[in-house]
Amino acid sequence: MNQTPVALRQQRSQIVFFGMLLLSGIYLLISFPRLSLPLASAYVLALILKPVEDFFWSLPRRHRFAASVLLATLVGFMIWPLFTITTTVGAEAQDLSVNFPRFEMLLRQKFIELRSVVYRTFKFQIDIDPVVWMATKLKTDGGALIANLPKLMGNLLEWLILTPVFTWFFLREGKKLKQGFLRLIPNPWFERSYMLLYQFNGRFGGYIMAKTVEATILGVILLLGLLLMDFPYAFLLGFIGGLTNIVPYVGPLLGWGAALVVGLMEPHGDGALMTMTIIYVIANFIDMALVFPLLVSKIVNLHPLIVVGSVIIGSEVGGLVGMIISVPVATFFKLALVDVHKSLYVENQK
Amino acid sequence: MSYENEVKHLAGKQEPIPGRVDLGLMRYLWQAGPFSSNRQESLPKFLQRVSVLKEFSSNELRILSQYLHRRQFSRGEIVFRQGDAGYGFYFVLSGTVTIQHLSGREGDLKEHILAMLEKTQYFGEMGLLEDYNRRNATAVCGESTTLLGLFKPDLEALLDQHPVVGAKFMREISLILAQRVGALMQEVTHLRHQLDGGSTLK
Repeated sequence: MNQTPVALRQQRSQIVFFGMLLLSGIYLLISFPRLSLPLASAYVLALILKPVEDFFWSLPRRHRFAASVLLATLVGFMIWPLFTITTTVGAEAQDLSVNFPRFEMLLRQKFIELRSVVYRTFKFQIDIDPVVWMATKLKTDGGALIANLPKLMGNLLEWLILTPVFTWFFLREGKKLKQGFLRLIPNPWFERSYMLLYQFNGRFGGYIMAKTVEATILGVILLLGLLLMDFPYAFLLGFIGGLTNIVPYVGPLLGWGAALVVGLMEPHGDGALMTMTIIYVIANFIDMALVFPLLVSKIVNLHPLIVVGSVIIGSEVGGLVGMIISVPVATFFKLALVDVHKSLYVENQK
Repeated sequence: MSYENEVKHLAGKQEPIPGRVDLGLMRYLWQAGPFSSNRQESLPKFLQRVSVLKEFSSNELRILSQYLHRRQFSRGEIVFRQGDAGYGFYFVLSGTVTIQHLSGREGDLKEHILAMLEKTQYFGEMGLLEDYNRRNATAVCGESTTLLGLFKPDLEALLDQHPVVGAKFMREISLILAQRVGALMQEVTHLRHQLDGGSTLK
């Protein structure tokens, strides 16, 4: 069954128009990160908040009021400890920056010891001084950071203001925006694209939710472990541990690295570093053996090898951001591939 | 003078009592007026005329209409092809749609017209139910056509957000399928009779 030339021409025009629109949209988002970053974070936030919004709208009006009061109380109870922790984390971070010269001295001392051992054993003189290298690096990078600080602060402020505005906009007008976008999809692609977008949205929302829960669980385990052994900067390290866990596979190492630096700066008795490492291993074991398979893996439904591969490719292409978004992107490609596979094989078998 | 006092006063004088303002009737007349209709309102009105949705109340139709997608097709444009993956169900809002089926051996395929659908008729219900549906026939627009589509994600959202309307819609879809199965059984029985008759003649 062939289409009439007029219908074919119209379809082609629709496809060209939609393709151009899509490409220009992607180009704009890549070219203007000041716009795309708040948009992306607002989209993620809207996905997290959508189930809460749906739940509220499903209630009758008087129940909605009662639930709003309950939610406000709950949020208040949640924000209060969060606020306390943020203050503690901030104070600990400031304290750490004050104590940094001590770390520099300790590192220099360790380096001198190592250099003399190497010289005695191999008769080889190490010329590179890591402390000098670090100081130079800090001066150049730190100088650039200080020079760009006003701009960075401006961007951060802009991001902090725009994200809630965009989130509200996505929650309020999300349906209209989605319908507007769907209306532009050419007829021959509509059903499949809509289904694919729906499946991806569901998986992506679930992934974000699962990663947030995973990061919180890991952060709390680390915090409790470090507090129990009276390790310095426990709140800050727990927060960093949870945050770095967002990056698959490499994240736990980054979190542990931060704790190692703190441990070296403030020697805390014999075997403190070993105990701290054991806490990190236990926390990550719980994460890998229980939290990840039960929460994240089931939602994204990706083989561990694909996750590792996508993280490596993500780091090559987009660095840290690439690593973070690698799993959702891999999920999208998997969904698209499954759809193509079904159309090529399953359809013919029927 | 209040309405009650006015009624008492008129009843005392044994004069006819004026009727109360019927708000429902006023609203109906206002909405039925030629200048008050708009695109948003026209969808539930259209759905009222769809036979399969006759059990739905005005409010349920209004809810259902929020989940429908308006798709525009030009004359001769294919909505879906036989063998395509299907995820949606369509109502004909305007124009006509021809349902065609290709059968026969490769190289000797024959095209049969199964149905000519007009305004308020519907097609593609299997796309909503099967996990991975393959379209059994090709749908072609006879003229410039507007279709209202309801797709799997919309049905899931409808069942989630308005379970009563969703369940009612699913019941109607089941009825359509039951009718189709009934018609198929009749056809099979008819063909079997023909075959039996043929073999007896031989």
